[in-house]
Amino acid sequence: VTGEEIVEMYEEGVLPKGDALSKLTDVAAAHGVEHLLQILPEPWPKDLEKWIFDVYDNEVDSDDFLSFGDPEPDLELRRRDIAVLREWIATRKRARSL
Amino acid sequence: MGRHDQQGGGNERISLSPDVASAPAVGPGKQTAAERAAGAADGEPAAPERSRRGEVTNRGGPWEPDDSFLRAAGIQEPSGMVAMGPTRARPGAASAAAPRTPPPVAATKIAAANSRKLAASIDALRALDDAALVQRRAEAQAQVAQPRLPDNERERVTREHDAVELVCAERGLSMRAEARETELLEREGPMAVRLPVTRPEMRAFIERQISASGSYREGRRQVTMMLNSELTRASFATRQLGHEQLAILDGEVAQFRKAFSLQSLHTARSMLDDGSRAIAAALATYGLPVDTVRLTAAAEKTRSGDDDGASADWLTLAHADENDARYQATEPQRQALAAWVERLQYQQAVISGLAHEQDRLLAMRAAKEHPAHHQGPRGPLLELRGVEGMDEVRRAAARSQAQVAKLPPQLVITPTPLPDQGGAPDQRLAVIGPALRDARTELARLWIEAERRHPILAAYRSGGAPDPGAAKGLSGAGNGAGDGQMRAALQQVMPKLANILRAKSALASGELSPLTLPPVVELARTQMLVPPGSARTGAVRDLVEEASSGGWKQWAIAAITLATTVLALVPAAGAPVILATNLSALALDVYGAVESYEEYGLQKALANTDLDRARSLSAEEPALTGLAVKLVSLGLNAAVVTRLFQEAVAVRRLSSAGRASDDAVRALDKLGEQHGLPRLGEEVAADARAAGGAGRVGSSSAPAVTVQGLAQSPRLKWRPNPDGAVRTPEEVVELARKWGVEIEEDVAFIARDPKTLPKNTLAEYFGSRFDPGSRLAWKNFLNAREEVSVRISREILSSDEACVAVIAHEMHEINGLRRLFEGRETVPAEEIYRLINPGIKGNLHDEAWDIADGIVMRMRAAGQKMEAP
Repeated sequence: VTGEEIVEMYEEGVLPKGDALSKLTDVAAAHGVEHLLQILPEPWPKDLEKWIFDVYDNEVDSDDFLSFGDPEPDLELRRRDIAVLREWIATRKRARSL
Repeated sequence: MGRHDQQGGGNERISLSPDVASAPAVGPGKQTAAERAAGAADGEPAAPERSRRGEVTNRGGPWEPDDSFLRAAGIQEPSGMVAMGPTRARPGAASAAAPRTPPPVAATKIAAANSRKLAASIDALRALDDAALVQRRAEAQAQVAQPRLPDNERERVTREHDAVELVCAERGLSMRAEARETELLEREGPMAVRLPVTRPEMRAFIERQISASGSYREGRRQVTMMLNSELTRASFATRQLGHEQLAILDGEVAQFRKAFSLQSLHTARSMLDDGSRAIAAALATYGLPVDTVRLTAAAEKTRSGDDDGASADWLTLAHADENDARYQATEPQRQALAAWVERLQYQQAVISGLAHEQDRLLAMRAAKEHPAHHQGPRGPLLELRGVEGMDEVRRAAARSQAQVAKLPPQLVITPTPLPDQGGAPDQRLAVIGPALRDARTELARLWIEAERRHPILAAYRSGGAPDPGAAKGLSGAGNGAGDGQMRAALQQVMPKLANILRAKSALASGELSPLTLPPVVELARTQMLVPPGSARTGAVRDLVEEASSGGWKQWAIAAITLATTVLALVPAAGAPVILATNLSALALDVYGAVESYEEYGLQKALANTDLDRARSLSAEEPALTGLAVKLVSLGLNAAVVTRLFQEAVAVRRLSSAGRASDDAVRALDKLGEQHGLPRLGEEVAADARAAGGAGRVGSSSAPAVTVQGLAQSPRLKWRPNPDGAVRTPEEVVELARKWGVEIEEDVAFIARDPKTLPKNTLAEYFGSRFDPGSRLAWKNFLNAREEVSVRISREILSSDEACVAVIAHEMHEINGLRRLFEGRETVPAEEIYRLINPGIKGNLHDEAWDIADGIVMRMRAAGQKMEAP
């Protein structure tokens, strides 16, 4: 599923906003956060950035996150995704501090 | 009837007239963090509110012994301190030998308004290590011991001192004591104490005496005696010092007594008001058009002696045009109540039969050992009664089985095996003893589970042990179908509600002191963050003693206990979050202090606290309710019970995730063994593995939808439609409603390609990831149109059974969540997770499959072809 499709699903009422952002986060981790932020329509880039910071800018162990709606989560993939997101957060913070 | 749209992207969509008015009370215009999280409409990102990492760890993580625990357990002493526990153990007093309880919830979350600053200090202190804490304790005692402080400074240092003492008590750090005192104590007897000569040490000394006596008044008296005793060899200056410190404490305690009395009154009123609302909410789940105004009016009618009139009014109202549809729609809930009562009655019959048989065998043995005392008609009579007892239990079992056979199969009793009647009496006695114990434990476990689903059952246990027989009117056998069941429920509930009103009125007139209501005192103590074993705890005891000098009002205690119990069971009843949070811990707090109340002869009024304790203990992990019941029934120290349970929860969670190490299991085995529960670790781990393995919905291959598992998934293999018909979402919603599934107008079902849903998932309405400290709002579940959108897999549309079961399942969870949010703006994500995720026995997800299975069985039993509406 692409970022645009997820946005479309939200607009059609298929997904709540949080679900849409959560799915976008997965796409971002897989294909690059900056890339996704560039192609998403407004106001999604700002929303997604805030979501990623709110959910992952902490020291919570990847395995301790609560996943709703996925009875068989791929834990390894989740760990990798979260590592990617946290790396992006760190980069963004460094850029802000410069 | 909704409209049927064809959406872009291949979605078939049914939207059922969004009804904003029916949405839960998330205040419009209020911009909570959770609303910001869900703020789709205004373009705000839907991020959850997140708490700090430390709080997350405190709340949810498995507790493990650390250095401070080891020190508290006497393995390692804090530097510079000499451990000297109270001379006599008091309930709740800090003890070096007692196991430490798990980290508590953040103090700021449970504190009353007048204790917020204290709570903030406590939370800050919890971040310190033990050495730093001990240092702060010495500093706080030095500050608080200073005479002639300005009022605001006195308030500040007292608060700091209280905060330090509470955190020290949590960690089991003993109160400060001088080594020289101990030497003298050992050599010359209890009065031979070398009195301290500095202010901080004198303060610490006085506090220890109060802690040891459990009463401020008594502790103070003893200190005064010591100050004046020759054995203490106190100089004039030392005596002066002692009196100075006593005067300072007197001032602090006088202030505290006023504050505590006010807080108790406020707490009692809140508990009674919220309890009434909780009872109303519990009754409303059966389709009774209840609100607190009507409920109050009915209770007033009951107080005036017109019980029948009150229940008749309700039922008339329930059948009025505007309410009848809802009443009819809640028939499954009433049926489920009847089925639970049948289960409970069956278990009671088993216990009765086993007890009679045990009596008979004991009498036979006595007659054999002492024939002279047991000759004559008594022997054969007992023999007959015993035989009849066992026969009776078998007859009761048969009757009960016949009743439940009429009910949905998922509620059919799994019979408790009855011991074989063969063998020598001694052999049979050896079998019956444990069987009786297990049957009683099972009844308690079943009762807790039944109360969780049907809180009105709490009205059937005040003033005595739970009595399924008294609830007969709620069972199918008692009243059959129709209004009899609800009439019986109302007749039971109304007098108790009338007592709640009477208690409110008596509190207002001063006829009833809130300090004579143990649950109120315990909750107020929690809200005011009173350190266990402190001078303040002693002052609370004195207040209770003084207030109860005129006697205890058992009816008022029963009323507040019922209000508390139902309130804890119905958190969505409009209770302030803070009160609900406290209630979850209340039963355990009462447990810790129950010995005090037993001293007052309140055993009868508090006889049911075991159930509440077990229920509270297992609230975090309902699958371990049976273990909680066992632990509580062993009569262990509250801290030991809590620790054993927490360790079991940790092992269970690790086992469920396939991460429990042998060492962890063995450690729990060893801990269990020490307290009479051998193989505890192995049993918990095995049970978790079994539940986890069964907790997955299998693949759904055409033509039938195949499901696997026993505990957390449907038990039935759904049949495809014989004519191959494929329904639309609109049709399946109509069909589900026809079978009694409650679907609010703001729920939209959307058929989706199975590939767009998570693996092995047939439906989804919420699919996000959160950190465990997040809090969620109802808005998190809503789409841009303020609807709950349920994505269902297209593959189920060719099976009416699958459609109805899946919709029933999702709606049970959604309706449960809706009720949860009706009284709370936000709920911890962890709480939601425990309610709706697979793998947690007894949660909404688990119940939902029971209900779905029941409906499918009814569909089959009715022998109806599932015609499209």
